[in-house]
Amino acid sequence: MKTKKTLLVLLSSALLITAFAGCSSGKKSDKNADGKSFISVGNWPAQNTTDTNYLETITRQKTEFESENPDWAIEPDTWKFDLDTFYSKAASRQLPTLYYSNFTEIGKIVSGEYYTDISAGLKRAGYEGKFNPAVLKLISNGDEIVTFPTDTYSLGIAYNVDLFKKAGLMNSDGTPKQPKDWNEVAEFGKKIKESTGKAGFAIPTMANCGGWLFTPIAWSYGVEFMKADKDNNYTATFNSQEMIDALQYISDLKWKNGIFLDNSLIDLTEYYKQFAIGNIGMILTAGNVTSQLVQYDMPLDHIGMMAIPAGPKKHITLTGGYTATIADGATDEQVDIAIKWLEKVGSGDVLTDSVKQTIETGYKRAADRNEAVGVESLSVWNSETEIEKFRKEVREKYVNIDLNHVKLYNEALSDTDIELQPEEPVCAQELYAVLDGIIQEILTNKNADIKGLVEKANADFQANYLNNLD
Amino acid sequence: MNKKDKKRNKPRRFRETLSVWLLLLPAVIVLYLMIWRPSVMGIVWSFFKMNGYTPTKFVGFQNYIRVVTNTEFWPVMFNTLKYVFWSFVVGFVPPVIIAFMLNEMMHARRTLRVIIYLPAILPGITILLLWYFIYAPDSTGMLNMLLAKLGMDPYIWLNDARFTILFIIIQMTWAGFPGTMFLYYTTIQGISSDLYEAATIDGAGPIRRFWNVALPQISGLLLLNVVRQMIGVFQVMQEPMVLTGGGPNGASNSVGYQLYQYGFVQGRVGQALALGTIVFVILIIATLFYFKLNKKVEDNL
Repeated sequence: MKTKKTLLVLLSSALLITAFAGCSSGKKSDKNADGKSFISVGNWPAQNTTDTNYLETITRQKTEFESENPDWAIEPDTWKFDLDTFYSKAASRQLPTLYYSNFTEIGKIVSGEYYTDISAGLKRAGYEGKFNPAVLKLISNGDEIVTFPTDTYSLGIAYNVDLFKKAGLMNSDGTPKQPKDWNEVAEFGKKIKESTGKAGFAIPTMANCGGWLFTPIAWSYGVEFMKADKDNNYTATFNSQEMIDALQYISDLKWKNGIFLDNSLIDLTEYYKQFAIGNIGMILTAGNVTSQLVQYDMPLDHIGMMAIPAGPKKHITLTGGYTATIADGATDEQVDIAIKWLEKVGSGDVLTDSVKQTIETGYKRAADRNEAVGVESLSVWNSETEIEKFRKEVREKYVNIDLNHVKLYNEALSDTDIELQPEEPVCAQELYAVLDGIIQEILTNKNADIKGLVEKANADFQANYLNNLD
Repeated sequence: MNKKDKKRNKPRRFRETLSVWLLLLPAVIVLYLMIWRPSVMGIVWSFFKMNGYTPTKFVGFQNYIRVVTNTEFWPVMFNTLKYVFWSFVVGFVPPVIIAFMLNEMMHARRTLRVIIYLPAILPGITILLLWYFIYAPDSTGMLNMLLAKLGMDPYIWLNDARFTILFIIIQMTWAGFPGTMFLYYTTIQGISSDLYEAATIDGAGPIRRFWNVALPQISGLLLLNVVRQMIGVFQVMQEPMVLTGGGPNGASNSVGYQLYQYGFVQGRVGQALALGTIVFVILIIATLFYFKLNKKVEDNL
């Protein structure tokens, strides 16, 4: 019996010791085996990737970078941002030194302090005043700059050119008729439904994506989702007539106009897929999605993109993007390496021959893979930079879709009448989940009590999330 | 053996059992790293304010209060019980019946055994995608195609909030019954054929044979499976995640999926740990009950 007891005591003390050993964290070395300063870079393609073009490109960039900067080294890391693994990676300090994520995650990165402030590094590299101020606000935390934006997008309407033609919604010059407001979207949708039998318009409803895409519609109706006082206490403010009107609009699309899909539980993948295979006339989406539709074999001449319509109160769209963050605990030198590397791969504001080659092969690769080339995106920069001009030139060379099909979207990018708004500042995912629920309810229940739903959602969101901010 | 002998035997017995302990060591290490340590840490950390996976401050029951006062908590608990309820209504009896039928088969038993086991060898995600198409609420859904053949309108299946959980349970039953069925099947196979023959000579038909011969022999197993199924279904997560996202409007949200949302979507690790601990406590009570029952059943065999 005694041995058993001793063993138990030993085991349980081992349990406790290692339990608390887990709390301490070591410092990662910034020198590799050759004694060079190095950074690891995430999103690296795996050695067995089918996208060999990209692997070749990035390997070339690494070789060039290391010969141009003999004291520095780049270490590939195939990790991609994924919430399933992010926190464990972060807690065990296994994040790549430079890792990519959507803007959406910046809040989590800031609250966990999983970043190294790059404001001094940016100053050293001459980036002061270069970022678009609207973007700069999103990537800052007080005086600190959290992350380096590489791409930004804004939402517009993607439409199926084929269905538009059949519904008589194309102009003779190859541009589509642009719905001016959401009611016209409903009208257009009805025409598509009548002439082709396909859904006119759709909105996803699952995995927080319904809420995400519904927010710009709600904003255009004048909805304000939350307000902060001077102590940063947030109050939910969407229990309003505007919100009821916006939701009534969605409900009418389903029950009065009958232009939605039969399935009311669809996630983003299904949403894109149904659009790509020609089952939906119009979807609300970011411009860069058009290049992904090739995976469902959407014919290039069916892809079109136009501006987001106006709502009763505002003409507004949602903006977001992709960004590169330097993990916490990086040295100044590592920040310099990372910024230099971002410039090397064409994300900075430096146009060298190597970057030119990268941009050229990038577009060529996209065109070779039959990805749609021709839709433009928002710039992260304050003014038109050399690199943006060059990018535009090359893009025009490799265009493979009818530019008239996407003209209205490309023009809308510089239309200052359309307001740009980022995601809600706090608890955005939680808000989307709440909105997903309402949207599912009104799409599956013809007699849903919208007023009651909104009232309950507003109260729940306040009690469950906004009251628990910390 | 007297007391003196016992004492003298002790060191020798430890030496004798040393090899056993050494053999156990790898399993103990794995269990320690993968099960015991995370479980204990999870419970400890559920009392901390978590920054990602790093505990920062002891906050007492704050995480628990937030979990329980969340307006979704009781609806989600109730949903989970609904899952358990429907799983008994729909899923408990078929494995028993099928196992017995398989045993009664005279021809093609071997082939049938393989065919019936088929769902168990399919990967979980394949099954879910399969059922996604079976339940598709438009004209492309398999069930709706059948309805169309019968001249009926398409039905919205998983979109009907009243029955979403029932439909998910039907899917889970289909995917899960072969394993349970084989437990019953092997037990029934183990029943002495004398009993069957005697019953048959006495004029008992299949139903009588099932009721009076097979059922008494598997009653212990039935009892155990009640608890096993309860524990299993209580943790339901990937089915609502893939098929409905917990919808429509939370109608199929489960405790497991809520936990996943806390931990991996909203980044509320402290709350995820607190809810995990609550589920752990509920299930450990059920498990203790299971062990007690198991002992009783084994003693009776």
